[in-house]
Amino acid sequence: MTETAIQIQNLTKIYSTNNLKAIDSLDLAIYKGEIFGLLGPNGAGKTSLIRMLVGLLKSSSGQILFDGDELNINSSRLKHHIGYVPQEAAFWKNLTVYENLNVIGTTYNIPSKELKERINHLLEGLYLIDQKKKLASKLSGGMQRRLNLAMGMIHNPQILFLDEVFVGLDPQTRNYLYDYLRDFASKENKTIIITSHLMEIVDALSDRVGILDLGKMLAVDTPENLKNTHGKGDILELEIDKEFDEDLLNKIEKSVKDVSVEKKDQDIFIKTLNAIAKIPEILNIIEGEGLTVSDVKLTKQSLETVFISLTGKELRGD
Amino acid sequence: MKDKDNFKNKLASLTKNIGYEFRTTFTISIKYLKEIFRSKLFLIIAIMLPAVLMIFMGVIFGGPISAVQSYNILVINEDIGYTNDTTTYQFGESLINTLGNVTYPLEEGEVPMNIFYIFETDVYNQSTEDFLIYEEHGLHLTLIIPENFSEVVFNFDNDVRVTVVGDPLTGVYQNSVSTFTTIYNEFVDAVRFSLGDDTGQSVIEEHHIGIVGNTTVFDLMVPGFVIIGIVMNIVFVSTILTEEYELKTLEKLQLTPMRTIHLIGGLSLTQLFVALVQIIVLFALSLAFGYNAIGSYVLAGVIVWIMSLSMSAIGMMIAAFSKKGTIASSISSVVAIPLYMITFFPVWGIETIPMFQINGNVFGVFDILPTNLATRMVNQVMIYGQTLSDLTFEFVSLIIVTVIYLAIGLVLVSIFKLRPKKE
Repeated sequence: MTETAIQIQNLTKIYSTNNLKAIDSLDLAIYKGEIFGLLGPNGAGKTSLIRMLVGLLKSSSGQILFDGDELNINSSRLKHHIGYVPQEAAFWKNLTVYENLNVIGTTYNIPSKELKERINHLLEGLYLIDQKKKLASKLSGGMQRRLNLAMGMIHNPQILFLDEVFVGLDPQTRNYLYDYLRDFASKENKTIIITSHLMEIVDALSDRVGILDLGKMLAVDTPENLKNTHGKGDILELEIDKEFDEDLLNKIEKSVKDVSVEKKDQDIFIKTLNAIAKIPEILNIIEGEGLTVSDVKLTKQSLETVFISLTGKELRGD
Repeated sequence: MKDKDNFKNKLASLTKNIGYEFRTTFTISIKYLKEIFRSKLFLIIAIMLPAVLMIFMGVIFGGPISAVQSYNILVINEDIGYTNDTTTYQFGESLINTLGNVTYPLEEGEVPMNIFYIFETDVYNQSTEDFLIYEEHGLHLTLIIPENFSEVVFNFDNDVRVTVVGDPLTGVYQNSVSTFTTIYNEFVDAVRFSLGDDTGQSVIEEHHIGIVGNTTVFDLMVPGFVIIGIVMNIVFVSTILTEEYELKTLEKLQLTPMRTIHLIGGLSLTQLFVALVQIIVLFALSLAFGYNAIGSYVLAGVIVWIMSLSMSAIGMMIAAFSKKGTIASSISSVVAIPLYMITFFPVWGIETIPMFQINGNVFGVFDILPTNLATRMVNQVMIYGQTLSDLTFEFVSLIIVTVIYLAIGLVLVSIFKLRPKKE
């Protein structure tokens, strides 16, 4: 997965109306076959970045290279190469599901027979086959989002950009879409760039995650590495059966590497990276003091905490 | 062998490309057709409204022309005068002055009204007749005063002859000839009496031209009604295109290899189909209300059809600057209203302001608006029976003007709607 699909070099976007720097000298490489998650709070520049990558928005400076070639939005080759599923489901309301896909497919010059097969295949995959003769306006919200996704994938692009496609989906559809995208990327070696404020999905789906804020890429790595590097660690909460003094806390801090310990009533709060591995050692110290742990609660480190640690902000939906 | 293969490959690639161009344009056209025919609002705007207007006007104006109180006369005065001893008489000129001075009172206290409004020209030929009588001034009668008019008036033994030209089938012509005859006879009698004799006849030779049927106000206005029906297409083209932008479906197309020409071509094809339906419906309705047309419906339809493309072009121009369908619709209505008015200029006989002239054919300022040009042409075809060869200049002008409109529409949509945005 080291061959570069997209190379972004010193990319900057300044909106002249309010002189806002949405993207600030951004450098980034996205590799072939990877799912790249893009996280950022509102106004971080995610959508601006994606719209520049698909050629809908002009950059102020910098370069975007696809397979080594500079982005040329008029290039038919590039248009066949990339697919974009925008945040808002956009389709022709007065056309049926099939007709919507047929229009888009035809503009990609897909032969009629092949196009028909692809439409049916996509509709089956996205559980829309029974709806294909239905007007798009009559579909439920979830179905409309799936149609939106199908429209971005009809030409079988090598690189797929998904902007907040999980918003507004019921958990069932969300899980289904998750599996579908995983399959799409792994079986067909496609590159997917996804923005979402749903941390758990980005965490689970992405091979690498980039955290963007104020137009700058604050960190790029695998979700695990990000959590280990930038997270403040898991939180281990231990309930002790008897009263204990501060000496116990000092002992834990001295004996166990990289932990911070706090006392609250009868509980000990331990913040550390990879807490599970350290539990036996901590329990030994406590029991060595003649105390018993009556309850253990572990809160795992998440991308959310990484995100907050890097940006100082909560991630909210756009 | 290699060259042959190269040629075959190039040919195959070219065929594939041409196939793609047509298939994409056609698919987009079908898309728009399905969208609009599934929209009740569209059916109301594009078909129902013009049809209702035509029915309404048919009921109001479908009867014969009401009595005209004043007549417009084109005069070709070829009279060279007559000199007797040292005095030169210009009786042709005197006749014209007399006609111009005849008034009749309306109600007491009102300003007297001229019976005749005189328009003079030096040259008389078919083109003069067509242009001046039926386009420029909406004249009811042409009067030709012969070269020897003064001499004949002076020579008591001869009958005094003038020629009038017009269509005997129109009530206006009949009324104007009748009024003219009375005044003309009185003029000749008075002049001869003043010269000392009153013998001889005053004779009016009528030259009938069968270019006008039993024309009614409705007949004159039908082309205007058909064309304002088509003007409605500005609204639907601008709205549908702006809604594409608003609902981000245009952005979806923008991401595909589709080019502006496919979009504009597809939309124009759809508009042409809609216009065809409108033309058939509106002419059929006009026939039902007694439209007296002697010209070719096909030619008239083709003229309106070509003109309709400029309406889609105006719709595209509006869409290029609109961000919401409601705004596009409002702007379109504002644009359409003056177009409606100007469409009827040729019917009302409002003079065009010449812009340039080619081989005696005048292109007027209002002809920049294809609606004006087309209304004039359709009237020429349907009321006066003119053919394509009579209207070659206008026809070519219409095509050129329409192509310019389409080119502007295409460029504007391309720049403002289909290029990567700066903001």
